[in-house]
Amino acid sequence: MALLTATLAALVMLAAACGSDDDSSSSTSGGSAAGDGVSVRIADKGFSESFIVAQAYAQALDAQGFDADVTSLASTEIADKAIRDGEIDVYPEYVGTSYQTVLKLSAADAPTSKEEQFQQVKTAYEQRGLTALTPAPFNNGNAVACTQEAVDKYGIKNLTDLGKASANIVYSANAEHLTRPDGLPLLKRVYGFNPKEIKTVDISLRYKPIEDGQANCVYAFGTDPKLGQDKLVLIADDKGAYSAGLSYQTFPVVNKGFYEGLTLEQRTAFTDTLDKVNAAFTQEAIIPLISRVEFDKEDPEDVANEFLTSAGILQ
Amino acid sequence: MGAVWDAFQANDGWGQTWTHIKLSVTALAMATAVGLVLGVLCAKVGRVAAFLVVTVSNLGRTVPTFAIIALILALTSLGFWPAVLGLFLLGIPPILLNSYTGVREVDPGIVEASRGMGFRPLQVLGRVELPIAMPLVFAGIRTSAVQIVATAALAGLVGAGGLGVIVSSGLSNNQDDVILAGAIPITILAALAELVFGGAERLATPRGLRITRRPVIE
Repeated sequence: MALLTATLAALVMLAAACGSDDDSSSSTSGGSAAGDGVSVRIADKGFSESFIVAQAYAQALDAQGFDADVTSLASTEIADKAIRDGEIDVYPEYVGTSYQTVLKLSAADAPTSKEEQFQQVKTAYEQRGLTALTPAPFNNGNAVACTQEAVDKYGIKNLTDLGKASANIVYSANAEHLTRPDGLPLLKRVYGFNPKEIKTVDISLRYKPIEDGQANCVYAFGTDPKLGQDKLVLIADDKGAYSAGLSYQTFPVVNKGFYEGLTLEQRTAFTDTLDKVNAAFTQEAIIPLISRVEFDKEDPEDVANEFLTSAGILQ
Repeated sequence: MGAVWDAFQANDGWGQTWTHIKLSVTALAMATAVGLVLGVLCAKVGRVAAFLVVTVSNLGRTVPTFAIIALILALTSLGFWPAVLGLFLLGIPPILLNSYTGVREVDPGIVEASRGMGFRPLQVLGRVELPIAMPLVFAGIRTSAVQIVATAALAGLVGAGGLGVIVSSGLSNNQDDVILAGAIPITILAALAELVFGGAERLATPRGLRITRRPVIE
């Protein structure tokens, strides 16, 4: 129903814009709000978080008079090739993934500030015929999450508190985390985190000890949908060392040819729209959305639509 | 080598070794009890039942232990006992099959003679058949023990700990010293199991059999 309303709203806006004279050299017929009905081919990378972000981009752009549709691509490599070949125009990517997987740069050499990491990716992408727009604030990077009970009982407000509460913590993590230099060894060194016991499990089973009541904290990624489902609390990084690794913020990668082919007005509308959507994607906002798609099997299209509406981007 | 020792200590090597031994010994003890009893029963009851048990047990050997552990995990939870259960199931077939074969293959003439001396069925089993089957039973236990010690490395994936945790950590981060800090103790434990049960096998061989068997082996 919400979708229908949004579509109607978009149509009304399109119709309204038809009357106005505009100087753009719109390639598509029909006419326009700022988007002039320009078609935008968006891709996602085939998992819940990516579905939601791509859908949100598409619906927000539609509302601005663009004609967006979304396809699903299987992997980073394929998405990167497709966008360089101009087969798609936009897709959401992670800064860290661009850094390591696409640009093949070493995480060890990455600048510590997230802004600098993004700038480095942006510059490198320019040379590859791609434009990187501003990232969303949510970060799917390294994190530690604990049960509400543990947080309340041991007064854990940040990672330093967690270090002090070590003797009460049973920590669930995969084997890789235990010896990875930016994983547990860093938590030990910087925050004095020496959990009473470690439940080592396969990476896909990390949340099971928590669900079975065998652990009270877990090595998490910032937007793991399990965080919402299991009602876990992300522990703030008061020293910034643990989260200083590669940033896993999402940003829109845009084919440069497509981007520069837009008129100034269209480009401004395009950029503003994506910026607005990204700005609304905070950590708190996206976790429940992913949880709904992943566990409640809701349609990403509906979830994105509701999110855009509540953020005031769609009416 | 110093780096490996450091990695062993940094990753709670002694604790994980102890966990590894606990997992293996528990699973082996259970497998020995069940395998021996089932094997002897099979040798004593009708051929059809024996055929069934032996076939199922043989089939069981083809199921990867990790699959068994995953299955148990789906039914229960993470930790020590699910891992022990998987290793226990892995350990049964060699012991069962060797006990079965050992009792079955006892020279009928000897059994006949002991009956003639007035032994009751249980006495025949306890004083004649089992002692003669013992070397083979221990060979089965030895095989199980080595398999269990080696496979217990998987327990690290299901929250049961053990040296497998150290190996996986090293593997996923490309840290050779960490891999070795887990792999070397596992190898040592497996070799120890081989030695201990090989020795037990020799000790368990009745003196009379040792004499007759020596020329056969050499």
